[in-house]
Amino acid sequence: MKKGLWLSLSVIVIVLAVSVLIDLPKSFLWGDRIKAMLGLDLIGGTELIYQADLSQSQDKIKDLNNLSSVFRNRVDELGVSEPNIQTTGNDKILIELPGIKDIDQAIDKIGATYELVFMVESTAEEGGVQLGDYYDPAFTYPGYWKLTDLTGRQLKSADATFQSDNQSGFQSDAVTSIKFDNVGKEKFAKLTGENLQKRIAIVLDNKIVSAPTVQNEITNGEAVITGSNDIKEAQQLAKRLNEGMLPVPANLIAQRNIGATLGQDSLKQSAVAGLVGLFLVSIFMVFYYRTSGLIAVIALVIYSIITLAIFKLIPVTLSLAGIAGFILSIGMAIDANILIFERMREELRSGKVLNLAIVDGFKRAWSSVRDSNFSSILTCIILYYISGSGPVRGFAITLLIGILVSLFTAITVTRTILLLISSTKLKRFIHV
Amino acid sequence: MFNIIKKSNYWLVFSGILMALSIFFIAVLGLRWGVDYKGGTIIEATSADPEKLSSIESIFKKKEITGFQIKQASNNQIIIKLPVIDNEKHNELTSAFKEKISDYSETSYSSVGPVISEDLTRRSIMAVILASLGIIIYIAYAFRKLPKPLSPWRFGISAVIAIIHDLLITTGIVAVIGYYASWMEIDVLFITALLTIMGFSVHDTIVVYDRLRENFLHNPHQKIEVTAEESVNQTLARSINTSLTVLVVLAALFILGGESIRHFVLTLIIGIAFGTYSSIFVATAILSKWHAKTSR
Repeated sequence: MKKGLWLSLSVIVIVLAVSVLIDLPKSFLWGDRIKAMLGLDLIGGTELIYQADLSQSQDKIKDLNNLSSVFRNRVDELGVSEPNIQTTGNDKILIELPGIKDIDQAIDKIGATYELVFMVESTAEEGGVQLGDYYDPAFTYPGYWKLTDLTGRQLKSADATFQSDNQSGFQSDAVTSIKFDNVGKEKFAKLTGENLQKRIAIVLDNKIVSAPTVQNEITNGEAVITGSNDIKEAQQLAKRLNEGMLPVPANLIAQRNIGATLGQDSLKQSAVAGLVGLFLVSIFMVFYYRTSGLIAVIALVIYSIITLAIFKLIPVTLSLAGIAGFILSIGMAIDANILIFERMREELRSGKVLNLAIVDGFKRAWSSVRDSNFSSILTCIILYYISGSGPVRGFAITLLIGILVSLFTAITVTRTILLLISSTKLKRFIHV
Repeated sequence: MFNIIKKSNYWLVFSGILMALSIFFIAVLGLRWGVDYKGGTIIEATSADPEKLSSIESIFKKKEITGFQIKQASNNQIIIKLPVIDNEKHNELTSAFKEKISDYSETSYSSVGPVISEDLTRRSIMAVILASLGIIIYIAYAFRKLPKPLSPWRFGISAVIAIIHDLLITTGIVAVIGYYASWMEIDVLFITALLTIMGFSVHDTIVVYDRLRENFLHNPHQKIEVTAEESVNQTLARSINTSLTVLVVLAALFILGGESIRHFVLTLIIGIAFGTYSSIFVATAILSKWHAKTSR
């Protein structure tokens, strides 16, 4: 019996020690690599939600994931530290950019599609337009051009390669090769078939990249863009083409921007509120349950330390709602102790000795502690899965972790300390 | 011992009146739907000169924008509400404001399109329905070994009636507060609060149920009303103390916490107070009446 107690005490001490180390802002073991993640509403930043138009999509999950990785590439170019990009629901992508203040610049960069179109020769009388040169915008490309139904939407991939000369086998010019998807393949074949010995212009953002003359009908859906000066330029062009193709069209459907000062203030206020709440609960517990109450308060402090360590480890992104969930779980953590102490009082009243009253109090209270907490856990899990993202999810996860840890501290920690004290001479100080 | 179950008719009538009043207030006053659900744009901005902030209204009038609402949040802060606008319009407005107010600074901006709000409404309704079903099934399962004539389904259904009671009254009070206070908005956090209240309400109810089961097993031939009365009285101190500690923490959060979660915290305070009340005065009372009727 006593051996078991010392064992659980050492487990508690070890868990506590590790948690304290993790909680410290800077540890001698891992420096400051384990950091608390704070939500946008606390540090300020920009949140964008895009909805993908999947009506034309063959493989919706794949397209959505592709869209998300295109967004990720673009966000990386913005140089945001710790951005969060996730798909939510069936067709939405949430982008969180901590620290980004200029919402318009972010939207321009992330949501822009570099428009790639293919144009054929036309005349001024037919309403054709003149366009600049891609590499030298000041230079007007000769000829008049009109749009076709072939666009970058039908582009599958773009790569930079060297074009090999068929006769000599030498690799010479750096080119960008592009591949069309099945729809694009047919359109391209038709376009090249109808425009033999005429030029087809490859136009990016209204500037002509190159306008080769069609020698024969191309049916394999592949083409090369010449005109790059070196492989670097060809690579850049390929990258732009790849990035410019959003796999599916996407619309910006919600945007938020939160100033950093607002977040800092809220963080401070919540922290103060949490401490004051903890203090008031402690006073109540000690006043009402005396020494047992004091032990419960100690368990509560241990609870807070362990929970915060878990938040940092996972890591849980703490938003305002998440902090509210945590503070709320402090209140719930104490509930298990109240249930147990009330039970112990009853056992004592029925004439049991202290040691037995403690053991039986815990045993009898356990079923109601378990059942009642399980219903809260159930609610948290439903909230977590249905909410998809955002503050509700943060709230659910912090409350869930809080409840689980509280089951450990309110039961194991309080029980171990109480039983250890009751087996010594200090026993007479225990009051419930 | 308090005569709680014995006088349960009074409590049930009281609760019935409160629920009827809540439905009345929700129907007549309506709820203050936030941007999350309604869609729209909110701009929060500051300037050191409150006089100048009030001139923003004239800019809207000049630009012939309708459907806007401007509210002075504090001395140097205003909150502007608009229908959904695009980025160009937003830029245009910002530069117009800056022209008039030199130290105009936007502290927060959010714009939510109708797609998001529809999605959110669907998810919220789903969450409430799923959580209710989950709770009925869970209680029926947790109390499955009850001896006859007790029915585990009646335990579950009585608990859910108590939940509906809590949610309805909370929403009713929120409707009344929202009628007077603009910060009491229905947003995602409100739904979160409702779901938390559900969890708490069941939490409390299960503690009483658990005691009822224990007492019943101990003395199966006693009248159910008497057993229920005993159980409620035995768990009363615990119910009150638990709620008190949670309410103390929430009160601290309400008074000291940030303004942006004030509506959330207040909703929780109302709901948890009624959740404790209903676990004793509604759930157990209905359960006891229901079984007493059929056993006779």
